[in-house]
Formats: sequence, C-alpha cells, structure tokens
Amino acid sequence: MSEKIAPFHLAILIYMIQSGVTLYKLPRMLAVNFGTNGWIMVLIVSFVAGINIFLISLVNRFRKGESVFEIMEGLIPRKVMAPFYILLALIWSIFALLVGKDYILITQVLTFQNSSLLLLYSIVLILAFYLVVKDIYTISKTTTIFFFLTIWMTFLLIYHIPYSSIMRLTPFIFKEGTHSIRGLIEVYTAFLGFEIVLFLFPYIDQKKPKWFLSVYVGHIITTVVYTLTCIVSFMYFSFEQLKLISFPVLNLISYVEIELIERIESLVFNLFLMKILITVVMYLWAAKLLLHRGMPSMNEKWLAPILILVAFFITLRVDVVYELAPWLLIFGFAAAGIAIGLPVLLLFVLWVRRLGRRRRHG
Amino acid sequence: MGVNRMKGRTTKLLHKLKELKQEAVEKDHSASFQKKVTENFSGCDDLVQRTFPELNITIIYFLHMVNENLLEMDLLAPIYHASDETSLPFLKRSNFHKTDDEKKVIHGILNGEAAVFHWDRAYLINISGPKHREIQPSETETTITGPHEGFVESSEINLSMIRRRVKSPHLKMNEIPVGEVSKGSVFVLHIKGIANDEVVGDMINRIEKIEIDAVYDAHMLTQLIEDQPNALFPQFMLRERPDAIAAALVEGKIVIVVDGSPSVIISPSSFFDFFQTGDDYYQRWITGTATRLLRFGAFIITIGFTALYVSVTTFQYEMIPQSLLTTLAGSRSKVPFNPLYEALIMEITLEFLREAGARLPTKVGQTIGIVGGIVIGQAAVQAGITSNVLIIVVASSAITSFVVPSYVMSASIRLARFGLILLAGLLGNLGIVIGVILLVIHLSSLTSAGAPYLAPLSPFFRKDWVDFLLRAPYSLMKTRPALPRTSNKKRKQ
Amino acid sequence: MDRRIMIGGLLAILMLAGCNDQKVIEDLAIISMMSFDQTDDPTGDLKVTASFPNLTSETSNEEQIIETIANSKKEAEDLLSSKTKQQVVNGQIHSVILGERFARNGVKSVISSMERDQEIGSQVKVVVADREGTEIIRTEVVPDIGSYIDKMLKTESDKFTIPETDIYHFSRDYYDDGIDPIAPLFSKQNGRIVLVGTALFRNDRYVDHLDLIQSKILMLLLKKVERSELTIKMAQEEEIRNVHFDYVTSHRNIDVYKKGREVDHIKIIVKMRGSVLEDTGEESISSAKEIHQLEQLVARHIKHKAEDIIEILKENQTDSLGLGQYIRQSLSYEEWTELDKERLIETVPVSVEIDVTIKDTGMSQ
Repeated sequence: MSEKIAPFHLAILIYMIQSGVTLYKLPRMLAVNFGTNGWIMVLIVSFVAGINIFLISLVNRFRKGESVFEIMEGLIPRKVMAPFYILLALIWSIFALLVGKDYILITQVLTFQNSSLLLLYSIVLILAFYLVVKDIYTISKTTTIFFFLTIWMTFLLIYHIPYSSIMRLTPFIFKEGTHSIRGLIEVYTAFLGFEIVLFLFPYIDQKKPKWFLSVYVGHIITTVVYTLTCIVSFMYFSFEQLKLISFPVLNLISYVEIELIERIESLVFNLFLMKILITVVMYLWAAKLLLHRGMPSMNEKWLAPILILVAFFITLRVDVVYELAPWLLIFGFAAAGIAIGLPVLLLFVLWVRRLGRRRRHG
Repeated sequence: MGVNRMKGRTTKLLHKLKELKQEAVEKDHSASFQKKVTENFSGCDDLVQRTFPELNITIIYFLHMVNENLLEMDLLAPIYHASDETSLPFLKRSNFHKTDDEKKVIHGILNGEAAVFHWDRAYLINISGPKHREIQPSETETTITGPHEGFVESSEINLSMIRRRVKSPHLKMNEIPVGEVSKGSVFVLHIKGIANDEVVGDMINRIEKIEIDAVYDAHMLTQLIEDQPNALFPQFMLRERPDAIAAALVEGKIVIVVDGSPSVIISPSSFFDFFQTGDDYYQRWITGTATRLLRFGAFIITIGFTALYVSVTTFQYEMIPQSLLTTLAGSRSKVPFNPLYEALIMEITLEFLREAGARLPTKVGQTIGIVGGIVIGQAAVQAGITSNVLIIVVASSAITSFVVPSYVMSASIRLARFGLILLAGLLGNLGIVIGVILLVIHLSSLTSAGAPYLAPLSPFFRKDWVDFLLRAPYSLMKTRPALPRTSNKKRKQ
Repeated sequence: MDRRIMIGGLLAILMLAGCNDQKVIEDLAIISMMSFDQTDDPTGDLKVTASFPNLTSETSNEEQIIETIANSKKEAEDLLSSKTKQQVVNGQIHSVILGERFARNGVKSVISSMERDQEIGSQVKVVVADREGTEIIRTEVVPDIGSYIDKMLKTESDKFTIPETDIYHFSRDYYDDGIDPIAPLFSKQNGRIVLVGTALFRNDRYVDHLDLIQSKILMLLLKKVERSELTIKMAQEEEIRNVHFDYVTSHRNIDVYKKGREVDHIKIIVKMRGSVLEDTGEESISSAKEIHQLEQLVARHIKHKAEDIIEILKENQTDSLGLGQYIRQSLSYEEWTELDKERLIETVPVSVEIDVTIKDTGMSQ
C-alpha cells in the first residue's frame, strides 16, 4: 500500500518510539541523579526536547517539500554525503539493538534467569526484521494497534493512589542528588525518537497544514505518561527506598492486586515488548533509508539484514548489566547529539542554499 | 408474339429455378448448420432432437435443463397450432431470438434454451428451468430476528432476491464466464454512484484473469481473487443471506454471485466484518452493542484462554490466585504430561470431535457430541490424562469459538489459537506476547481489495466507530464506511 | 515467501530458548510462609522454617514443613531445597514471620534479600512472633497455616486493629527518615495462634510492643480510620463502666508548631464519629446533654491512653507515627539535616487532642 500516514497515527507513532524501557528505570534515575522531587526534571527535560522538536518543525517549514536527503544534497553532492549517511545508519542501528538488548536483559532478570540472552534477543531481532521490511504505512498501522493494546497500563497507576502520600515527596527540591551530566543525558534519551520525523516527511499525509502539531501531541503524551509515573513513584516509595530499587515501575506493577488477578507484572512487562519493538524498528527503518541513500547500488532486500547483522556482531559481547549501561550511555549520547545536531545542520544547509539562491538572483 | 410469351415464361421458369436452387442451397445450408451444431453434442444421450418435417422445423434441447411447462406452452403448443411451413408466426414472437452464431446456439442449448432450426435460420427460446433447491433458511447463517431467506444454488433466483431488495436502476451487474471447461457464470454487482468505480474495475479484472478448469463454489472463487491468498485470514466475507448482501451493496461494496453456489462474496471486507451478524442491526442498539462486545470478548477468550492456562502452569505459577492454587496443582499432579502437551492433546481431540461431528448424519452426530463432550472429558480427568481445570478451559475456548459468526474466520482463529498455545508452552507470557505481535503485524499488512484489513481500528476512521465495537443508534450512522472508498459519503443518497 | 519461511524456521528454533526456565506447577514446592529465628547453633545463626501446601496426594498431610539452619536467607533456601523432592519456589509466599530474638537484632538483611529476589511478590506480609516464629508455623490445629494467618491479618487490618504491613511498607518506612516501621504481633497460646498487638521497630530493630487496645488507638493516631470498635473501661465509683464505641470514621491532623528555626511542639488532633452500642453504666444516655457528657468521658479516656502510647514511643526512640515526616514538611533542608533525628521523638513535646462525636446510641435510648 502506498498510502500516507495520517496525523493521528503520527502522534501515536512518535509516542511509541519515544516510550521505552527507560520508563522502568526512570524514577530511580531521577532520584539518584537529581535528588528529592526529581520528577520535576521530567518536565524540564521534556521542555528542552520540545525545543528540539521546534527546530525540526522549522526544518519542515523551510524545506519546501524536499526530503531530508534532497536538502543535504542540494548543497553537498551525494557521493560526499554517503559515508556520513552510512555512519549515521550504523549508529542508529547499534542504538536500536542496544535498546532491544536492554529490554531482554530485564526480561531475563524477571522470568528467564537460566535462558540464553542471545537466543531471546534473536527472537526480538527476528520480530523486528519481520516488521521493518514492510512499508511504513503498514508499520504505522501496526503501531496503532500496539498503542491500543498497551495504553491501558498507564491507568494501573490509579491503584497506587490510596497508598501514596505527599509527605514522601518531602518539601525539598533537588537535594541529595549527584547532579551529573550523565543524569541529564540519561533522562534526555528517554525522550528520543522524535528525530525520526525528519525521515518521515515524504510519507505523511500533509493535507492539513497543521499536521506537524501531532508530533507535539505524541511528545506530550509521552511526557504525561512519564510524569505521572514518576510522581506516583516518588509518592509511593520513600526517597531512600527509591534509590535502591532497580526498576521501580516494575515493582509498582507487581503491587497491583485486584481480586483474582495478582502479579500481573510479567504480562504487563511482556506487553511492553510492543513499544520496544516499535522503537527498534523505526530506528532501523531510518537506518535502512540512510544506507540505501549512501549505497544505492546494494539490493534493497539486503539492507535490513545487513544492518541488523552488523550491529548484532558489534554488540555481541555486551551482555551483562554493567557492560550494557556504559554502551547505552555512549550511544544515547550519540543519538541525543544527532537529534539536536541534525535539525541544526539541516537548517544551516537550508540557510546557506537560500543565500546562494539570493546571490544568483541578484 | 410467341417469343415474348416464351421469354416471359422462361423468365418465370428461371426465377422459379433460382428459387428452387436457393431453397435447395438453403436447405443444404440449414441442414449443414444444424449438423454443425449437433455434431458438438454427439454422445449426449440426454439431448432431445425433434423434427417436424411438415413445418421443416427441428428443435433441439436438453431434456433435463428445460422447464416442462414452458416447453409445452411456449414451444410445442405453437408448433402444433402452426398450419403450414410458410407462415410460422410464432417465430416472430419476442421470446424467440434469431441467431447465426454457432457458438451462441451451443451456449444457449447448454444453458437450457431450446434451439429451433428452420431452413437456414436458428432461433433460441429460453425455456430453461432446471430443478433446484427451493428458497430455504440458510443452515450456516441463522438469525433470530430478521428475514430467514437464504440464497440457493441457482444464480437466477439469487439475483432476483437481490434485485427485489435493491430496486434501483443504479444496481449494475456484469456477467463474466469463469472456468475453461465448465463455463460457469459469475455476476459482479455494484451500485453505480456509491461504489468506487476503480475498485469495481479491479474486481472484474481479477475475475477475468482467472485460469482454471472450473469453479464450483464462491468460496473457491474467493481464493482465486484474494489480495493475499497465502494469508492466515480470509479477506472477503461470504454471506448466504440477501439482506446482508443488500446492506453491503448500499454501503458501496461490491458483491459477487457465483452460479451454483449459495454463498455470495462481499468485497472489500474488514477483519471486523466477520464478527457482525444481521441480528446486531435488527435488535435495539443497546442490545446490539452488548452482543457485539460479548462477541469480541468471546474472540479474546477463544484465542487466548488455553494459551494463558499453559503459560501460567508452566512458567508463571505466581499468577495463580491462591484459592485456585491447590485445586489446580492437585489436579495437575496426576497428569503425566507437560501442560503444553496436555493442552495440545485436548485441543486436538476436540478438533477430531468437531470434524467427526460435521461428517456424521445428524442423528448420530448429536449423540457423539454429547458422548464426546461429557463422557470423554470426565473419563479423561479420571484416567489422569488431563486436569479438570483444563477441561473447563478447553470447553470455554470451544464454546466461544462458535460465537464467531463466520465459519471461515473461526477456522483461521483456531489455527492462530494453536500457534499461541505452542508459543505459550515454549516461552510463557513472553511467548503469548510474541504470538500477538506476529498476529498484529500479519493482520495489519493484509488488504481486502486494496483497503486496509483492520479498519476502522488501525487506520483510524473515527466516523466508522459507530458501527464497530458498538452499534450506535441509526440516527448516528450518518456516513458510509470508509472501507469501500466511496466518494458518496453521506447516507440517504 | 521464502523470507517468511526462513523467518518462521528461525523463530521455531529460537523458541526453544525458554526450556531451561520452565517451572511446571506440580513440580514445585510453593512456599506459603516462612519464618526467621535467631539460633545459637554452630552452623549458623539463622533458623529458617518454611511451610508449603501438599499438592500431591502421596502423603496424607495437608502441608509440609521444612526447616534448616544457615547464615543468610538465600543460603537457607538452598539448603531447604535439598529437603524436599520438589523445587522450592518463593513466588507465592504470603507472609514472613520474624522471631522475637531475631527481630531485636535487626531484620534488614532478610527484608532486603526479599526485595532483591524478583520472584517474591510485594504483598508479602511481615509479622512478628513474640517468641519463636517456627512455633507459629508448626501449629497443628490449622491445616494451612499460610492462608490462615493471611486471612486473620486481613480481617484485623480491615478493622484497623493492626497495621497492614507488607515488605513494601516495611522497607519504605525503614528507609524513610521521618517514620519507623511497625508490624502485627502474634503469639501462640494454648496451641492456637493469637493476635496480640503491634510490634514497634526502631529502624530495623524490634524494640517494644503495644497490646490490642493500644494498637487500635495507635491506628487512630496514625491514619484515617474507616471502621473500628473500642471498648472503653472507665472506673466509676466502685464499678467499671464499659462503653462500647463503634466508630465509623475518624481522621487526624498533625500540626507542627515552630518557634524560630526549631520545632516547638507537635499537636495531634483526632476527630472521631461513631455509635455507642453498649453501655453498662446506670445513667441514661438519651438527651443531648447526657450524650455530650459521654462524649467528653470517652474523649478524655482515649486521650490518656494516647498519651501513654506516646510515652512508650518516646522511651524507645521510635517514631511509629511518622511525626518526623510532618516535622520535615515544615523545615527547610538545612534545618532538617541539622536535626538529630534519632532523638527527635524523645525530645519534641507531643500533645494529643481527641474530639468524639456520638452519632447515635443504637436501637434503644
């Protein structure tokens, strides 16, 4: 099908890409890095990400219908850009696979302590492959269904309200945190995913002039979900306790007990695979586009497998928690840099080209 | 003076000779035309050939394809009443069609018409009336409220039932022959002005492209024109009830009638169409909505309940509520198999029972059903082959699978259920989620006549939600659904 | 098409990945209750007893009890698994009993070990035994001790007699510097398991306990009570007047009064509403004036009891009421960090004010 993505689906897609495993670790991350009432940082970082999205919207405004590739190649020829594309594709592929591995590691801790990480991980990769080779319209349709199947989890928070207390927030703001740059990056990576919009431009149904707003809508949904979860975490757990719990959200879910249903955290966490899958798939999809543009001679069928296999082997050795964390940090930093740098670069290129045009037209 | 008279007589003689020659040639010609036609039918002992030499007429028809009354009244009676061979006024009647085309004559005879050969000309008269089943309620599609008429195998009757319900000149019908050997007829109907012309053209194209010996049933035709024939789920809905077909036409859908089949194809169909019945629309909207929600709940249970059982007893024992723990573990402790095998054995046994029940004549079939259901289940538990909780689970799955109205769809769902059970046994809850993911990806990529299969959920068509999970009051159903891609969006035009 | 077959084939092979982690239910010893006691045994100082229901029909007992001695919880679990043919699993543990001696020395190791274990759910109740926990598990009268205690806890905490404590609550209050944990206290009397009150902890050590009536009043001071009942025994002349007060709701407010940068005193205000269902006194209680009199009597009585309880808390330097949290709420960060939190409860004056409203007096005047 070659139809275009409607704005409604775009919003959902953005939310699903952004929403990742970081959510499960986020409250603790905030408590350790920013101290008491650390959840406020979610709002602040979200605002910064919003500015980032604004930059992208500017790119959209000035691009005059061109795709990202066309913008760049208007100034720099394709052959020169090619290595840059390939590098970007590689970084994003590795990042995607690391995200997937992160999820599987937690699944292992939870249910499959004795199973091979590699095998479980490969299953996720195969699922990602199955989806990424389909066209973007199908991917967005799948994402919408995944959204409906997972959004109800947020409402589980209602269960925790009777046990939460504002007292536990303490009146102190940002005390006893490490206040490190690393912390900021980690929180920022929780919001990454919107930069994929740059590559989605040609595939979106742009009949309504305000379609870009749906990117903001997706981002707002993500922010709301994160903020609610973090506030409730800070009110439910005491501060020091929160610093010790590796995956506070997992604990939150496991405390839900309604009549016959208890300990649903394994089911809920496994459903989360859907969100992870979309994150992985969309980064891979963008990487696929980049690779295709950088190496047009390669048969399209091989693009996805190559990316996945290369990234797989690069990250092969990283399979324990304390090794994965620094890798994620580095690549998260890289991805954040790309998310900020790419729109800035594109705007710069657009500006330069406009100058060139003006000069030519006297 | 004698010469002139001679000339005149000679001319007359010459004329007469010419006439006679012409007659002879014509007789020859007609005889050969007739021969050419009848040659095709050599060996067909059921072909009747009657000659009336005094009228110079031969009639040819298939004995079992014609309606006896029509034969008597429209064909034989005029023949008996005809005086001589020169004036055969009945041949000029409107129901006699003159033709020179050999193929047409053959085709006509095959269709139950009678061919009348008079000299060089052939006439076809439609007196077809082969025996067929009377209009009865459909066996596979029943409603409690609503009309009970069901389609039969004769396309004429089916088409008449449809035309009766949609009395509009805009209801167009294209007849397409399908089947190299059988030359069956397939009729494509749509309402011009509502249906999307491109889609209509596409459908007709697909049918014309079919290369096969014969098509016996609409279900067979469906598989030949589907968008994705290798998919797990059917893409076109088949219904046996004229009111459903009329409703589909009015929504802008295309309907395909296959001669010889009591099922009619609706294209395009969405996944959720397979969960609708006529009753939904004929009852009050609140009850209709409740029934629909019930059906979706049944869908979830039938596809996932057994898988959940397997997953919980194999991997996730902590999910079992305390009160059930002792019963569950106790009954499972007697079973020598893994929960996965136990569940698969029970499910396969149930499938055996189902198939067997479908093949047996009704009287015996009912007994087997009861025997199978109660006795075998009970005995299995006591013999220690399964646990009693599993019997409940499998029975619920089976019962809820019958809530799905479409048989083809429920067969697909059954396959999916087995897949989920297997995945649950191998990877627990993660396996179930993986199975669901695979299903969702598969379903999302399916199209029906080019339209997305999971609409209005997946491409989100807000206005269609009035007839999706819920069934809203008719006052709220203002626009036609998006699936058929009609340009005529508002209803009532 | 080939792609799909390849994917399918690969997936099929990979699906076997989970085979190592199967926990088929009938092969499991699903522990429902565990107790931890201090011992002086040379091999270890922790005696762990576990009970699990007997799900197979091979032995006639309803449940099995196994016991071992080790140095830590997990080591004990390893040793325990060698005492039964099934695989010992923790996923359905419903309560954990801490023996008195063990609790007095600090329970942190066991609690944090439980938190680290992902199998153990979070609704595991924490309970203190007034002697040895293993005694309580080995009660013969009750077939399934785990669910017995579970139900008893639920009934009593629904009546707000004792707190509802599970591992999460315990840990949360332990780590919070503004409150200390509490737990229900059980005892074995005449072969029966009896609930005797609430155990008070200072950080993670058991220090003292309150009896049932004191427990109820502690609940009043601690949180918003939704239903409870109390029998007030008041000495009047030579007789004891029993008033049974069935209070439907109560809530409390805590006000912190500062003087300058320091906390001057704390006032706890409790407002209760309920019905009087029994009064063995001679006076009538029908007129408004009489009812007000009764209200005041009851209020004064409860206030005395509350003040006694606060004395106990102060003596033991334990902040079971969470007064620390309220103090923290009213100070700045520097002021809070400067305080000596250990001695906070001991030093700050606390006063109690009780306000009783009698809704009705039942079916008679």
